[in-house]
Amino acid sequence: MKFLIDRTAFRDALQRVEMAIDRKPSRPELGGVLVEAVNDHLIVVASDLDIAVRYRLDQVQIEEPGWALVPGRELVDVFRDIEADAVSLALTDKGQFEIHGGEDHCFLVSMENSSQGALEPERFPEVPALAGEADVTLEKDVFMQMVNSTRFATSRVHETRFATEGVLFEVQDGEATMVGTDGRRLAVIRRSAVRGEGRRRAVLLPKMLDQIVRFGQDEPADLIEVFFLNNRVGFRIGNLESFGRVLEGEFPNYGNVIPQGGKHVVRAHREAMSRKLKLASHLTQDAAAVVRIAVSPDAMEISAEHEGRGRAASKIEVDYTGSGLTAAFNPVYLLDGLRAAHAEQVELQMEEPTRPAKMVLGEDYEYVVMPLSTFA
Amino acid sequence: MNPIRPLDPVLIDQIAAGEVVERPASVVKELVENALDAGAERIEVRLEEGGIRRIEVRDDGCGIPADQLELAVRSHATSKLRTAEDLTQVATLGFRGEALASIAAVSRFEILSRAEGESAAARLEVRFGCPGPVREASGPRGTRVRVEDLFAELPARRKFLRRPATELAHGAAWVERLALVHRGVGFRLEHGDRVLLEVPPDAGREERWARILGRGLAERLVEIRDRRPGLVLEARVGPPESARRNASRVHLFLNGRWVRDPRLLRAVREGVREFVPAGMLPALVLELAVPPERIDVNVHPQKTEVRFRDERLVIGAVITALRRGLSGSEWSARGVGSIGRVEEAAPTATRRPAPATGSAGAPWERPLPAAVGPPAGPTADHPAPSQPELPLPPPAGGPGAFLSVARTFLLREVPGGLEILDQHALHERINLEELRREIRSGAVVAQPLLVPAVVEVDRVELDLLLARAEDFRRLGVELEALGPGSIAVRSVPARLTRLDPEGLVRDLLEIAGEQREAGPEALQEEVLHRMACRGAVMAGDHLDAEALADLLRRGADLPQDRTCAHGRPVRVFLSVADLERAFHRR
Repeated sequence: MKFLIDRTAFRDALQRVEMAIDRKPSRPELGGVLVEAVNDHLIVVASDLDIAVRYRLDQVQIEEPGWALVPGRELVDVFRDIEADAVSLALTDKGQFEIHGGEDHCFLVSMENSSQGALEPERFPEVPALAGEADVTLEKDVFMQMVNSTRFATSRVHETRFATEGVLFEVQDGEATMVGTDGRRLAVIRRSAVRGEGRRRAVLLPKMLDQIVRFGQDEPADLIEVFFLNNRVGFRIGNLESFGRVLEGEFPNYGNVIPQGGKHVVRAHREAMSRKLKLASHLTQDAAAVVRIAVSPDAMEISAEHEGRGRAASKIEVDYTGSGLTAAFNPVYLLDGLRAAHAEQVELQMEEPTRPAKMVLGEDYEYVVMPLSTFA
Repeated sequence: MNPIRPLDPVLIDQIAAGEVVERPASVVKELVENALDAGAERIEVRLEEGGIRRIEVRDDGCGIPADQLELAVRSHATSKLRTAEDLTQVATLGFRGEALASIAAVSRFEILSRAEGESAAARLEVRFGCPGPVREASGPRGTRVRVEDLFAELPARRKFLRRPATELAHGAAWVERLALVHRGVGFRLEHGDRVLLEVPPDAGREERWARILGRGLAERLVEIRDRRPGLVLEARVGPPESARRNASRVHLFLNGRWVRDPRLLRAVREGVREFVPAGMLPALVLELAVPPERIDVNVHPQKTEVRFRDERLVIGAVITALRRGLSGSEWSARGVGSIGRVEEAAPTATRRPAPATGSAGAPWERPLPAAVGPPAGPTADHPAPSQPELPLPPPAGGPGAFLSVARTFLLREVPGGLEILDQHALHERINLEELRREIRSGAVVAQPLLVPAVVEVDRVELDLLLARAEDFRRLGVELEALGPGSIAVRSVPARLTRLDPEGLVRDLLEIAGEQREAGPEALQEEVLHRMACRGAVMAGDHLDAEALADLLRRGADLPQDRTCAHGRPVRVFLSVADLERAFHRR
């Protein structure tokens, strides 16, 4: 194997796969990056047990096809600091991976390479090429928005019963839905798919979504293609292919959780409400922050009290005509929702202080927050 | 079959002796207590072969008049009690009048005493219960008792004696115990020709303890005092490092008497449990003063167990005094490594530690690099790592920079050294303290769940949980039966945003099962501990800068942040001196 490539292009490719390099590999090969020179393009692959990333580079001059599995961390690090515009990479006779650019000359061991025949899947996890027609296609920006609107609400911890660490992704007859919840609040967003027949459903790993949001944006492609594989989901944006393990386990039946429009519907300005929530949360009792939201015609009062420190209360003007109602909330949850809102005007719908409150944060974008209660 | 006959009096004494005299240490204890009761100012104890060969206790107390010497070694003869009424007000250490007789029954015994105001001393020998005549002798004021060949004629008992080193340890422990609290009395312990302990009579409390417990430990004791009607309590507690699996370093004194009362010991365990590793006990001296009529010490021949008239009062006082005292103590809260102080000093990353004497300005000693300083921002050539991990950027406005190790430990420089925090232990402690604060303020804020967590339980388990449902509810945990075989968690404490409801039910089941007899408070305490742990970040969890800053800020507010709820340390401080030692610089 031998090829010549632009340093920046190869470095960018390595960055895209970096998140999938196993940080604590049980075998050295699992911490490796697979570099594969095909006839007219180059493929870089990394895979840990959760996610895998494959990236294709077309701007490359291949002198001799072949492949090598090299230590991933070292390869990424070396390419950060190598000083040359064009770099030549080759597999030496001794089976070393030679990196040569300008005055810099590095050799990495190759844990496996093409001189030994095919790469055994048990040595390095097989990362299938995404071929054929995708199961679902969405506009890339729409997909990114869906992730950003739900990912924040997922559970930070592993729950026994529900797979709520992940984001539920559902597609039915051209309509895509994403749901994130930690059992205390829930965000759900619906968008039209460009294409997507039948019914598909998977709980996606947040780590994979982070990788896609981070690097997918840079890809010069407008669409994201989704492939539902056996126990994985694959995403393709241009030359970037990301795979993630599907989270096993049940996902809460979110349909039952979303209230169908409350009696009390308050329209508030997102910015104003955020500012007042922040103000009040300076005087909440440390982590178990409680703010009280009291609505009355045309006004919303946000207040908090920290025993032994003081209290704060603040009012904003809102669009509301119903009767008075007060409910207690964790301000962090409300602020999270407001931050993710798409519109400047948000709607807060409440039934009663002990029932879930619903915020409408944009078109087909809803956020349910469970109010707090106190037991004496 | 042999006819029934009354027992020979000597034999009676030998049998009775078994209750008082178990081993050389019991002889040491009884004789030293007698000396103390005699008002001695100096007491000398000499042992040979751990006391098996010989025990000698000398004092300069009031002595025993010659005409009473014979009576003194007779059983149930004592100068300390006269009427049954006196028994309710025992203020002296000994009182049963058994000690000397018992000892004399099982050894070659000699007592030499000169009472105050008498011109000559008197001497009496007793060989395994057979007294000789009282003879005049010469000697200083006070009493000298010599006990040789303990159990020599009772092979059955002698074979239970252990190696001299073990017997010595037991004997020495008694001398130490008594020397700890009898201020104004000098103690000297010799074994063979070695002096093991020397405490001058005028040694103050600190000096006394330094000599007995070791200087390093004595200097680090936390002092706790409590006074309430019918009870004065004073305690000195050693740091968590002094803790041991057994109670070997625990000294309980009731009205000056060393006791090993199981109920008191349990109270101590409860009082210190959050400050030391689970199941361990720190070095501790607890002195209780209770009006003599409020206790009964006559329940155990060795008088190490007691009955309190107001057991609940005493036990409760011990628990709360220890808990309160320790949570406000220097080493449990505001030590060198405390967050509050560190914040003022941050950022400390580039500060040079004080150089050790002699190596100042040495050419090989460069200022420490900014190893834990904020990382350079991402640049084109140095893109930010995909996950912000090592080192963490300093949280805006928060404490100084941290280095996260193995997603478990947080390292930072603090004045005088290096501090290592355990993120799980810290969070657990924060959870516990904050929940307690909520309970004290009257109400726990509960977070009802959007989707109640449904857990399968059997009928017995269901009953167990429902019986305690009201207690759980006060902690913010609302349970509801959903039928014969399942229970739903409707809410959890709001602050525990990381609590897995299903895991919680399993914990509650376990606790409800173990604590069937427990009152609501004990149960609540157990549940709080478990939830605090469950709801904490785990070792290995990634903490972003914001979450970390929040954790540290809350930690700074705590009354106690030295150990987690299980008593494992939250923070470990390595001084520059420790580091220098590790690098062989001193």
